Amino acid sequence: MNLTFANPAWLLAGLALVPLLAHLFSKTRPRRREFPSLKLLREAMRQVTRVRKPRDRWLLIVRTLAMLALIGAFLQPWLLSRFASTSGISKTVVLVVDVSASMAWADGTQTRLAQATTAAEDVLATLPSNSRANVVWVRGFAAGELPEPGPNLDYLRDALRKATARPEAGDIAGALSLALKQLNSSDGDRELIVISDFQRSAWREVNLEAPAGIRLTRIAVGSDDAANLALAGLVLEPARPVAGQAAQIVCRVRNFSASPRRTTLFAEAGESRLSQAVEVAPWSETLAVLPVKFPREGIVNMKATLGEDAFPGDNTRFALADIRGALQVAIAGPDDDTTARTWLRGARALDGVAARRITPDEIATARAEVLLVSSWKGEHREALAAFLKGGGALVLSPAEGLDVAVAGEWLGQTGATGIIGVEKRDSGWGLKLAAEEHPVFSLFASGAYGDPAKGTFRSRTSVPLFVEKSRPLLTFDDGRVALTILDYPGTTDRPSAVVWWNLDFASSDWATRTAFVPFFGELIRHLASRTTAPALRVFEPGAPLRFDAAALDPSGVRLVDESDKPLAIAPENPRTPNRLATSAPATPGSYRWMSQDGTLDHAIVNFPDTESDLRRMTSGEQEQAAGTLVSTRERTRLSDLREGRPLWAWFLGAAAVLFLLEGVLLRIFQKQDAPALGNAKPTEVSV
Amino acid sequence: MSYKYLRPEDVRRLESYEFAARLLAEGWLSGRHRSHLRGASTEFHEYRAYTPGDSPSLVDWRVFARSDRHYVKTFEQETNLECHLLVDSSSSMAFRGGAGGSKLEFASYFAAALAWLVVRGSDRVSLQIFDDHVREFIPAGSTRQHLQQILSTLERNAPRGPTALAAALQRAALQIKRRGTVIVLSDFYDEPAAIFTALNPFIHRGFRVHLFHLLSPEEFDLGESALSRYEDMETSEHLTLHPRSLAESYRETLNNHITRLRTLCAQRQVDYAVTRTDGTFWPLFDRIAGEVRA
Repeated sequence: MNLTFANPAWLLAGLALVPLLAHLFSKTRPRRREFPSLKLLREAMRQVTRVRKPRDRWLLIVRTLAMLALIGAFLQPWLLSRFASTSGISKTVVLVVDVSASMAWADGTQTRLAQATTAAEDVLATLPSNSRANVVWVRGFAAGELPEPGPNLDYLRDALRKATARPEAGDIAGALSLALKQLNSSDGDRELIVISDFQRSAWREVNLEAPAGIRLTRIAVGSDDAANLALAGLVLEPARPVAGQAAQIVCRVRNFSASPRRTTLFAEAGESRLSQAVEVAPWSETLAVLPVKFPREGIVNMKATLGEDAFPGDNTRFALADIRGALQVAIAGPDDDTTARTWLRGARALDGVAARRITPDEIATARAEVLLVSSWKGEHREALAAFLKGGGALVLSPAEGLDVAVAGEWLGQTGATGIIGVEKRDSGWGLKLAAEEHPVFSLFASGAYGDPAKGTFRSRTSVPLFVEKSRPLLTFDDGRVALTILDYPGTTDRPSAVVWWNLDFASSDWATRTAFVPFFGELIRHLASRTTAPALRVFEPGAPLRFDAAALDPSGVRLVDESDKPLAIAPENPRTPNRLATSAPATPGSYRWMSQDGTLDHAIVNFPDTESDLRRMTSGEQEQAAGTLVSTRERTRLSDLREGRPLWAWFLGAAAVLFLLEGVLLRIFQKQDAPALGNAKPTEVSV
Repeated sequence: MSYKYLRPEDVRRLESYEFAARLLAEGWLSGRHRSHLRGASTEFHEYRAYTPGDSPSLVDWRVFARSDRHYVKTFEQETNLECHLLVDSSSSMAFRGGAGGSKLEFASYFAAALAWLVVRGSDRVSLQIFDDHVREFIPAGSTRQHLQQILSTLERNAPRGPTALAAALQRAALQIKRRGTVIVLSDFYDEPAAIFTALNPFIHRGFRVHLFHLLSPEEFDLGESALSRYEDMETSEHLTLHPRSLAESYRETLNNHITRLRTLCAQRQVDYAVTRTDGTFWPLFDRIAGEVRA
């Protein structure tokens, strides 16, 4: 607030009142009178003084205040808001208005966004006519309403009135950066005004600072009383179940309130409809597990919903489930290769595994999750690399004559050299478990499935196998690695598994042991679990949904939502007509890219987790932040203050009231005195 | 010969004051009064405690030898009585305060009239003029020359000096030898308790005491003046106040003062009267006469 005077010259004129005040408050020259003795007068005065002094004090206070109010009225003071321009200096204001998901919370009858836009309109209303302003929205992708601050404030007001909270997390840093950039290119009185609920989860780490020359003001809206229940996670376990396999939908429900909450969780997965009552302790989360079974393979939409509450945006969550059919195992190797034949027999003995032989030429296009290659001499490395990058797992059994250095280089191993030969021993070598805790061996912990290390090998490769960055599962009894798993370095997000198989079935009785098939099955399943699922398209809210139509005709591609309602799409760039994107930012939901041939791809968008915790920054954190914080109460008066309010009428009124009060006080005091004087009778003279 | 304070009209009224004459004839102030003074032809009356002012020759030493206390032996004797006039002439008595003359003038008129009446009845009258001490003392006498001396003294008298009524009464008691009637004319601006301590010798010696409290009209209600600077006529101290706002409280204070004096007088069987100086002094004669008759 600023206080200014329209007539400061009256401060000097106020000096003229000094004689008047002196006249009012100075003592009148009393008349001189002789009196026989002051003894009784003094005693009477002592009694009266005790009564009269407070009266005089009150009168003095009232009269002084009245005079001050009168002087104040002549000074013509004006009360201005902080946003008002005091002398017509052009002002550039950029309003950073938060429209992220948390702003949809309703504090009573008004949402936080409504409070924010009202505050923003109030600020615009207080700006002088020659001011320039802009609004920068804090949303998924920060953007300004105007390219730069402009004088068309009506347009901004209209945009503020139309603003809606977006179901997305706000790009706070982007919005602030954009606002400061626009202010830096302006001159005059510059101000950055941030209007937000200052949600703690989003703003806590934000370094809110303005460079020199730019005033920073924060207007906080909303209240701290915001209890919310959110569906924070929806996953399927296992992630890629086989059709018919029992699976679980796991939902993570969070309670952002200080009291325990009960609700009902509804889940849809394919044709399954499930529900479960959920109780969540204060400020904690709970997992709701719903059993489900998918009859067919394919991509299945999953959706979970919580019972209705005051903040419905985060009550629904979407997910895609990749239900697969039988585990595809491909085996490549010479027709007469014992290892390949044994692998094939072992694989076919396993339930849920579809094993087939392929030729080396089919390696590149092998649609399998696990590929086993026997008698490998280092050939088809590119095809194998492509297979691995596609997410598959590879089992390699080296052949005699393989250059270990070449294989090592391809697999990212160093230090091993030599040509693989075969060494034999009549007494053979036994096996040992190198990693008993490995999941592959968990089945054998009870002993019911035999000992997977039981067996004797009379021949083996002559060159020590890779030990670097490998996890040996089985070793020979002299310590040389027999079976190990390597991480293939070609993939980034999740390395593919390569099993180096140095176990020769032809010179061993290992494959005839009862434990072999269970061990082989566990190894295959373990490798399959490590395979990468087909990429399911998950998008952040606020970003456009994108699809590469590739060789398809883009005009035949359409995007539909959960209820098959089409969404507007267009080429993202005229030069790449096949790269399609939605025209509007994505909102939470489940979407499908369709063509005449059916579903091309799936996409889901979920509510941002960070927006569910509606708690605001604490007052201490708010105070520590840079800039001036405007309280809600102050903000609500902005519209009243506008360009300032003349206060002379108030001062004049106050003076009138005070003079009236003085009259009333005098009358009261006189009334108190009157009975004493009125009843006074001359002293009786008894003579 | 004319005197300021003995006006012909007052004398005419005193002469025709039948009631007073009758009282005088019947021994109001003279004759046929039981005196408690020792005399050869008197009968024993009683013992009483010695009080300052009693002649040591009156002390009964035999009683003293037995009880180690001083007692005075008194006898009854028929004698003419004495009237002792004590006139306060301090500066405060110069106050006029409204209609009429000053308090001292009022006291002087009354004293002159009473002295004339007493002398006319062949009784003895004395006069003491005091402020904080006895300024003038004319011993008791009953001759015409003695009356003229009293009247001249009153006429010459002018108010001055501070009041110390108690101290003055203590000194006056030492100068009055014979029992009689004591009449004190004053504005009594002194502590009532101190005044009565000073009166004790008179009371114990059997004096009949009359206290006439003289107050001007303005001393009752302070008048209807604006803000005033009050200056003490005796001490030159001053006090600025608004009489209107203080009138009620002052009236209460004055009443309290008078009440205390009246209460003490009632306790000691002393006659007390407040009188305004804007009136006449004749009611005081009626009061004296009433008491005598009673």
